[in-house]
Amino acid sequence: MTRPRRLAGITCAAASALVLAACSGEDGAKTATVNPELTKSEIKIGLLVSQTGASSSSSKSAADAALAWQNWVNAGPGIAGHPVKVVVKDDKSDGATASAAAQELLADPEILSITIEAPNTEQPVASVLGGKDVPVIGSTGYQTKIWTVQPNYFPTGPQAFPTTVAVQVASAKAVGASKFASVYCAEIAACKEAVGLYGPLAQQHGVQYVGSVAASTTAASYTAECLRLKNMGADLIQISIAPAAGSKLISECMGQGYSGHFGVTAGAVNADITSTPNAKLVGGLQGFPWWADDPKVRQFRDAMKKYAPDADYATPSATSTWSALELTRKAGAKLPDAPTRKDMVTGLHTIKDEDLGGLLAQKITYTEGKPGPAINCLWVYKLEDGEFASAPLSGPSGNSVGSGELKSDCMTAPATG
Amino acid sequence: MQELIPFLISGLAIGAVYGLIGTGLIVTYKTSGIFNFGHGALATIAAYLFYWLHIDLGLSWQVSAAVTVLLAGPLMGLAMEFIARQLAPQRVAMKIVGTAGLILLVQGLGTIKYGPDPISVQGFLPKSEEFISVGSVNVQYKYLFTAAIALVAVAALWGLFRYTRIGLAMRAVVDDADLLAIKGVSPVGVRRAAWLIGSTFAALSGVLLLPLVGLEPIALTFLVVTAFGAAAIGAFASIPLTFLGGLVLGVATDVTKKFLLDVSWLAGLPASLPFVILVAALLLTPRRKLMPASLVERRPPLQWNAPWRVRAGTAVVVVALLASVPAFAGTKLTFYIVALTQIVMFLSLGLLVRTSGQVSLCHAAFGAIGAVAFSQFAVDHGLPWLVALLLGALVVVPVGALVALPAIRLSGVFLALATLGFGIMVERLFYPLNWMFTPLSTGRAMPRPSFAQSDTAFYFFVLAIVVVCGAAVVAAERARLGRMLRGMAEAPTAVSTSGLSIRVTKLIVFCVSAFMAGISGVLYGSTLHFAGTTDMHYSSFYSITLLVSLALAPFASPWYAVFIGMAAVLPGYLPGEDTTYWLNAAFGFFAIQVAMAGGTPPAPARLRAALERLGGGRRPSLAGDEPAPGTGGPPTDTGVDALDEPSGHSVVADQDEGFRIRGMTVRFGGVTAVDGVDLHAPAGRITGLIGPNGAGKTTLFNAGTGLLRPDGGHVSMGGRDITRASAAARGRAGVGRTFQIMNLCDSLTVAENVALGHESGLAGSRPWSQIAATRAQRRQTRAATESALRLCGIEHLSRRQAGELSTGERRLVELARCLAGRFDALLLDEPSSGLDQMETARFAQVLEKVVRERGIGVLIVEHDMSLVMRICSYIYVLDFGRLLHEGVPESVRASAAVRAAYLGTEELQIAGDVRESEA
Repeated sequence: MTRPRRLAGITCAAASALVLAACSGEDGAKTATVNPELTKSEIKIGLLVSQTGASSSSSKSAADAALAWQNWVNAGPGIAGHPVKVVVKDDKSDGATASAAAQELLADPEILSITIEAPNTEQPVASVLGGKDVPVIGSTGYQTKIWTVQPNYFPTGPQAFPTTVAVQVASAKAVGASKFASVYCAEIAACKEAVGLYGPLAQQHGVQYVGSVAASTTAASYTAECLRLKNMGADLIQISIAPAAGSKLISECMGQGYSGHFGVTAGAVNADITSTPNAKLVGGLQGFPWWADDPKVRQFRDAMKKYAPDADYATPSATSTWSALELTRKAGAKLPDAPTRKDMVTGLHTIKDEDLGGLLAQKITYTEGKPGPAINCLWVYKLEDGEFASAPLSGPSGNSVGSGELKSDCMTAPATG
Repeated sequence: MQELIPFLISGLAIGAVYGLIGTGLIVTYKTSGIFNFGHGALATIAAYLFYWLHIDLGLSWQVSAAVTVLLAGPLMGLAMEFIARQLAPQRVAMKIVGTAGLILLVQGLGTIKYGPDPISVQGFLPKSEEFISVGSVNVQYKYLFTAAIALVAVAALWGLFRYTRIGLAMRAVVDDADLLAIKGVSPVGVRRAAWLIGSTFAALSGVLLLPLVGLEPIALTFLVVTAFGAAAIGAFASIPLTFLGGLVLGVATDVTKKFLLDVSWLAGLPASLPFVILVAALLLTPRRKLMPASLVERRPPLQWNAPWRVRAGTAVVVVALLASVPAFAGTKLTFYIVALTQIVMFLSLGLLVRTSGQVSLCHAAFGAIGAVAFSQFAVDHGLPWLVALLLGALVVVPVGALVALPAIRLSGVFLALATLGFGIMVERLFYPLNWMFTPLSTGRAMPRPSFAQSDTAFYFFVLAIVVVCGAAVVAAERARLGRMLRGMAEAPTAVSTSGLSIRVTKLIVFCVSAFMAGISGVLYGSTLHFAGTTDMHYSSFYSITLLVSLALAPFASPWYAVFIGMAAVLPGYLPGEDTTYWLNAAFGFFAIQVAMAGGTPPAPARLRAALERLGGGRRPSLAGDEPAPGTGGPPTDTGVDALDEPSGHSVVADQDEGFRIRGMTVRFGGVTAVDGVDLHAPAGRITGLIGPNGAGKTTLFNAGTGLLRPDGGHVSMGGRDITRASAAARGRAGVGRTFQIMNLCDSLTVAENVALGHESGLAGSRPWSQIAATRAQRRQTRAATESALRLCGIEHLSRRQAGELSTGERRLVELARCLAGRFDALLLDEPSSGLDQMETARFAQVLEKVVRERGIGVLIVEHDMSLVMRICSYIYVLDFGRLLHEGVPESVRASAAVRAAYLGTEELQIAGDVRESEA
């Protein structure tokens, strides 16, 4: 090929690539069938979610849940008679993209609130949205320092510290385990953030902490790790590495004769790991159990099947997003005909002891002039023989459901935590 | 021992795959001269294909594996052979970019199809997920199967090499492709066969690795990069040693893991161990084993710089445009800030790669270290922001110096390998430690300066830093440092023998580049307020992206950095969910194209002409616009009576003593190339050194000028022993030389090339001397350059680029460069090759006049006997490395031994051979 022809080819290929890239984009909600009785102006709600990029397998189902919720709401009463549009922004698990996406949502005054399901970019997003007029309503909040500090953040789900760490140890009781160990990823410093808490937490919950082991997510073999964990005598191994690597580690450890449970909590609970053959899992969920035999949960499942039939809704990211949006609907119940963000914030401040009938793990109260409350409650589950089941601990429930599948459990920080 | 068994077995399994990969790699490298950085990408393609066939389409594993390994593998081999053939004559940087581009292409397309998160894959071979008990532990069959398959494949290859004609041909093509062609075997066919084998091995590796590591493009690619360590252990040549090296890597990784599980601060060591071994092997392997497979390279493209008025105008327009960004960027401003930070990164990398000809695949690590150090100073110690910025970047400087250590002894692909290994090692070993990115999921806090908290204010602040960095790079390139860097890039041997200590030059450029990369890392982190390990801008993969992207950028410094840096805003305007991956794929694809073409195309002639007119009406020319020491225009006098006073000489103890070699012996393995030779080239005399081809003349020159380490003997200059001195130190001691294979900076003008002869000595070994010249030195260099140009009658060529000259003209440029230097003895290696009769006559006059008027000594290797007999006062005759005769020309002519060995009837034939080879 001569150089001019080659360069022409390059140009064409570049143009094709860019056009393809542009065409494959999806920047808003899918077309919805709106209840004709919803004659008021459309309300926009922003959703910032990691649909693509690293670790997106844990959170991408949130977008499907949000769009299903939008269609379900619009097919019904809407929000105070307003139809709803969820504006979905993919942060691509990238800080700059997340920052720009947050600014776009912030810059559109028609967007009355924003829900976030983007674990990797929580900090840059908070740098943009923190202290602004737009309310940020759930869903998953990983960092306590953001969610209980920023005045416009309204948490709906548990923060990683200490709640989702505490439940990793506490859930041992749900399956009768007594010796707790963990495997954390060797590549990322934050993976061992929880390790220092395990000792005090184990003491608090009457479980023996037998140690932690670092493992590379790209290792070809986990024989060493599994033998060490087995020799420690562990009967609950908390998996704090990427789900695909965790799945491999689980298989290898079972092959080495380990017969106990594996701990998998919060965002890590997705098909990559739950589909591991013969794995026995236990842990905490930051979103309500999707399998629960409860009318509100059934509503969720029906909406997902109807409006997002291809989506995998069996993830806590999907259910936590659904409940955050339901709380948004509750807060907007009295929105005026021309609603503003301030109206939404006012509505949020009317939320008192609210748990959406069990869709939230903790009764929530938002008070004007005060930051949002720490969310310390979640749901304990177990997975055996490929079936999810609720595994509530003994003790009082964090929400209004005293027993059964939606009963939640609340964690307390260890003395050193 | 019992408890080590599972680690040994799993280690042997993965090690066998490393060996398989490494073997495929060296087969292609040794036969084609192309080190395939994209070897892992081929394995990844195979893994994707197998997954698609077996999992998505539901085909049986046998069919899927057969299609992947036996069909796709060879097809990839054919494609790679085509790419390798195009890359073969290109410069080393292009060879690296051309194959590294594959990594981006495959990563981009693979991620678009299957997403970025790893997908675990169950073993597909029967019973592979089942366990067999070995003592008290269980071992999965898949490890045994993997080790067995890899072993069989490598044994088959070894047998092929040892017992078949094609194997013999493959070994032969490495040693002497031309000889193979004479024997009627096509080297192209042999190389194609090698690529077919290498790619099939890569495909097999991909299929074998799939159940072990899952489907994820970057992890799979980097796992294959691990096998580079195996190839290094095999010194990039030996199949058995490479396979053994793979086994060692695999076992060492797994066994180390067993013993380090309780040492949290060394948690990253097992994963980084192969890269530690890779870097160590590259540092310890004898240098002669790490020479490039091919020394033949296409000349760099001719450079063209727009007139300074155009450039200055462009600078104003670009800065004005960038300054107006906040007015229209709106919510996309973050992307623009990131783009500015990446401009600094590309300036840093460009200085290293484009200007100095070095390679770095660890720049993202420099950025990360800078960001972490800054955060420690600004947040942990509360230092003022600007102070923390400078200190943070300064912390990266010694790291850059550390990377310069391999750069001092390595070049080309081996330097790229060493830096890639270093980057991955830092990432895996140090990133997870608390003092790096902290154990917090947020990573390190990266504050912005108090006066630039808002995005808009921070944008302008970063823009100001970009302007400062851009101006600094342009200033450095126009200063002595830039000239030395370009000299080191294109004619390292010449500048070194002219007196420049290129070790120091490499150290400087790595330190400067690391400093700027550190600044970029700080600014990027501050843009997002936090810096963490999950940010791809600090990942090893990003280092590859940077190098590949840099190759795509057109324009000269600093515009290439602006051009490619601003590509960071594209994701902001292309909202597709896979935009980043499409861009990676497109960048990878273009990089392969650009590398095969030898670089980005030059500006169109019409555009150049228009810009020349705009910039002041100068006639379009490819020559650089630096003020040349020569006056330009054709010579008005072909005589040599324009010789000026000498431009300065080195300080020597006894100038009349001149250059002397005593008892020099050089051996290559079992062959003695030079055997106890004594030779003296005193001042004020032209001394000849003659002998048949292969007599050892150039070897003697190389040993005398420090390019070879002799096995015995002494060298002195002006009575001072310089036997242990480096090539550069010998240059500064007064020994100058030209080369049989010319060593010019082809992208520089003739005047700049000639000036290097003088300025390299002034730059010397002191860092400050290498960075800038004093006004007096500039005058001195200009005078020496003008004098040398005039002396050689090439003033009219002074503004032409050396790369566009004829062979004869290039010879004269080399001579002029040597004459411009502060030398007391000139060692000229076949200087009249390629000169016509007129030029030869003039050359003789020049030499005689230089010797007469400057009083220097000349030692000349020459095949033109009439020239030698005419100008030499004393002649040494070498034959088979030994001194056959010495004496005045008449005695040489009269010597029966000389006549028998060299002169007489053979003389004309030899002269004819020389002319033919030059033609």
